[in-house]
Amino acid sequence: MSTDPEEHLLDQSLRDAFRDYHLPPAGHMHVWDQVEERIAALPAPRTGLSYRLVLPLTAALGVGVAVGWLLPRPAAPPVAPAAAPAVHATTWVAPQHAAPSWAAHVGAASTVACAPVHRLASKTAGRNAASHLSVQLPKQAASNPVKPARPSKPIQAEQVARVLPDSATQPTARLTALAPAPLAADSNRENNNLPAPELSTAASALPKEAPAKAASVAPEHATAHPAKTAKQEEVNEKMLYRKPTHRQPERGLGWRRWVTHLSQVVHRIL
Amino acid sequence: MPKSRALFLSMPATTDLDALLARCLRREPAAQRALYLRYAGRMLGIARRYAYTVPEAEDILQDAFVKVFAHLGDYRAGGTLEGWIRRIVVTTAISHWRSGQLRHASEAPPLDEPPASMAVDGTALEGLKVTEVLKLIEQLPHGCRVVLLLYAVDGYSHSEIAELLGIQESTSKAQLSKARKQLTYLYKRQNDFIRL
Repeated sequence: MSTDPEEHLLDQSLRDAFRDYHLPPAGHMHVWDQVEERIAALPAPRTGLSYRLVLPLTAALGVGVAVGWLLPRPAAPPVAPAAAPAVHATTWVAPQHAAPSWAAHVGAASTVACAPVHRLASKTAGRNAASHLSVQLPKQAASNPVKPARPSKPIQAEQVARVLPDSATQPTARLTALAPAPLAADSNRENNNLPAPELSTAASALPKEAPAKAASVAPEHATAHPAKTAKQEEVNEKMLYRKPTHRQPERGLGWRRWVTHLSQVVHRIL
Repeated sequence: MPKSRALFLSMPATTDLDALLARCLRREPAAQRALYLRYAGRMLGIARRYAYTVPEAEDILQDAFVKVFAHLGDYRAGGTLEGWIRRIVVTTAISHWRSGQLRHASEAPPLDEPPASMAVDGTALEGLKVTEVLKLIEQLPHGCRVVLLLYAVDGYSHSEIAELLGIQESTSKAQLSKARKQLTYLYKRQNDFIRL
């Protein structure tokens, strides 16, 4: 903006006129009395935490968070497969498919790892079950903690006869009849809380004739209920591989939670 | 002379004002009174320019110094303390005017419009006493008067004036131009009356 020289002169003369203009305060001390009264009523200045304290605390907290975030963390535990259906399947399937002596030994260990036992019983009836067990069971026993088991009652022929038709009860009755006395007594043992090392021992102690007997009994049973077994297997497979639908552990965006937590802490401190 | 004493003397000494400020921040009444006495005269003169009477100026001064002591912790040493207090006094005076606390704001008599051909005389106010200049300025419409004082005397820019008064920059410029012409016209009319 270009200023007219005359306007500039007028402004300058105004400035000169008011340059030293002042009124002596001695004649206006009543103003100070009122000012003093009002400033005495002012609230005291807030004595919050000084920056010298807050800044190092914040920096230390930030470094701690960063270090904690960067440190290696233990891998998330694998999601355990649904256990309840496997227990149900064990009580149903194992006595039907396997030989009685084999089923008695497995019954003792079934509460530790029910699902693999079921899979073994249904799929590897003709294979060497003992060698498979020695590989699978220790792995499962190591990953899943041993829980106190419910006492498993042996299924009696009369109970099965009440539920199943005659064609189905006959092989079960044969299995019960085939079971030797000591093994049947073992299956009644209530203490199924075996430690992990004993599992391999139990698996290695399987009698040699168990696979042979299983092989001799299973095909006969398979011919009796082929459709039902296949369907049951399919259902069990689905149950085994079903992923739990409940809330998964939160992944990612952890820094947002940290930032929120940090801001809340700082807000609380201030 | 010991080394530590020499080092102490070579350090920049804190001025009286810094010590006074520190004591005021600790709310020492004697220091607050000293600060008031140090600046009250000049600040009352500033307040008087914007007010119509001395009691109005004293009200402005009182409010301004309460703000000064309440916000003294916000003062930074980037500018002078006098300039900081001056701005507080000016903004307090403006807020008094905007809130209608100045009695004569609406009582100023309407002025005759100066002739359109009239030019601004830069030497019109030379040789006048400050009280005479004040009397001339008090006859201006209050809007023109405030803009003239803010721009010509207190050194505010048009954008600052526009922000302070809540008006457009063009309005501020127009008011300033009108105030200059009116002031020249008032001075000439007064001189002509005296000569007659």
